Amino acid sequence: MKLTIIIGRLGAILFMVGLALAVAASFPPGRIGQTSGEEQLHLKSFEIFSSAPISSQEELFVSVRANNSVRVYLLNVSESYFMSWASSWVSERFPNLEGYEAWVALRNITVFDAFLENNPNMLLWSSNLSNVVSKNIYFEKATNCTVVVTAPSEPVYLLYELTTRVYLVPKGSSFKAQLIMISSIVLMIPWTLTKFKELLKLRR
Amino acid sequence: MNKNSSIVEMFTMTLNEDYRFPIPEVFAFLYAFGTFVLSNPVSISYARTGEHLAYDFASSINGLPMFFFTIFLFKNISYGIGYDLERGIAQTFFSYPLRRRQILTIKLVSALGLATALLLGVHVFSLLILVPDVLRKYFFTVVLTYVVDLCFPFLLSGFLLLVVLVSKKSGLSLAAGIGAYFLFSMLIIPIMLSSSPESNLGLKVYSVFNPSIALHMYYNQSKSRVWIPSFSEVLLYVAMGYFLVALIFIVGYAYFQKRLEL
Repeated sequence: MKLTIIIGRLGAILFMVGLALAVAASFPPGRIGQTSGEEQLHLKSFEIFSSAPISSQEELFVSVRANNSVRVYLLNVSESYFMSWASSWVSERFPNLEGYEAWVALRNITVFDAFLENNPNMLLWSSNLSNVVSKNIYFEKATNCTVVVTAPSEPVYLLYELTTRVYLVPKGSSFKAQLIMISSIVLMIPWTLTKFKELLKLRR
Repeated sequence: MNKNSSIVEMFTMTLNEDYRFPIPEVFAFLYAFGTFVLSNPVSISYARTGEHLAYDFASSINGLPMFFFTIFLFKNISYGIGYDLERGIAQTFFSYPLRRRQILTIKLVSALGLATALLLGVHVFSLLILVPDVLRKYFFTVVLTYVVDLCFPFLLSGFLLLVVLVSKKSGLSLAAGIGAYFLFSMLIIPIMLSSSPESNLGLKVYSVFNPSIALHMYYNQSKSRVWIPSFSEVLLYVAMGYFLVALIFIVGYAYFQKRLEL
């Protein structure tokens, strides 16, 4: 009898936690960051457009419109790590480059391709070669997300927009909330029945 | 009636009183919702990593959940203990074959112990939904943050217990507790404003009563220019805080055993 009450009350508490999660999941996302602008890429060059940690409660929207074909990449790496890797790669192969020449070499698509070749697990997503790319990205775990655009075949003039939207709880939480609520209802059944019987006895 | 069955019976009665349906359920909702509202990327920077991020998530307990928890503790103490004294129901308890300190312990385990277990249970469960990996990797940081953040509500509860025992009035003690809570919580604003790296004694004294300030300063060294405590200093403030908590409860026990007249 007492065990029924304890399990039932625990179930009721769990139900309320599930309800709180469901309520939090029902809130629409808020926009916390937006960057947009235009950029010119030289032939066979690349540019980093954004690098920030994205949590499981955030969603990143990437939109690129270009006059020629571009390819958009999302990498699971911080900009500082990528740039230090690229610098050492360039200085190993071209030790005599300095100043502007070194800067240009650092932004050559060969460097980027070499990075991908050496770190294939850091590629989260890449688009096809296209003039228009738009993508909504959401990660289940906090991820360092770096957005890179390359111009592999022609020089490019492009317009870009990056928007970060934030949710109170990770996407997919409403499913978790339903699971919690259903299992808590199962826990509550014996206790509710006992209460109901008591109520009936009192009425008689 | 033997001693053990008296303990069980009294504990059951106290639980029934303190945790009437749906009071803990409502508080569980408020704790969970408060955690979800405060543990989002707007309040917490994912640029911070490791134990700093774990601290940020664990210290989300310090906002809305802790406010609701303090109210819950106050309600349990002022109505669970104060109401019994006010209406003379406590006489019934004294007829049990139990010592006075055992009676007070039963009351406090119900009022403080279970309420704390409820808060921590709901908060940990909520964090497991949000950031399971952070919680698992930095368990020590999370536990330390909880221990530190709970010191201040426990201290206020001890104060409230003394007021309840002395005044034997539930309403008055509740008002005194809420007043003390708001007064102490607001006191940090003028203290912070008047503090500087050369003169931060006020902040240090405040941290004795509320060590969560010291821990906050420790984990936000880039922001806290006024005072950057070392980790051992933080532990010292936690020890002093809990020493005060222990002291106030010892006084409460002594009063309940020796001086309390019904």
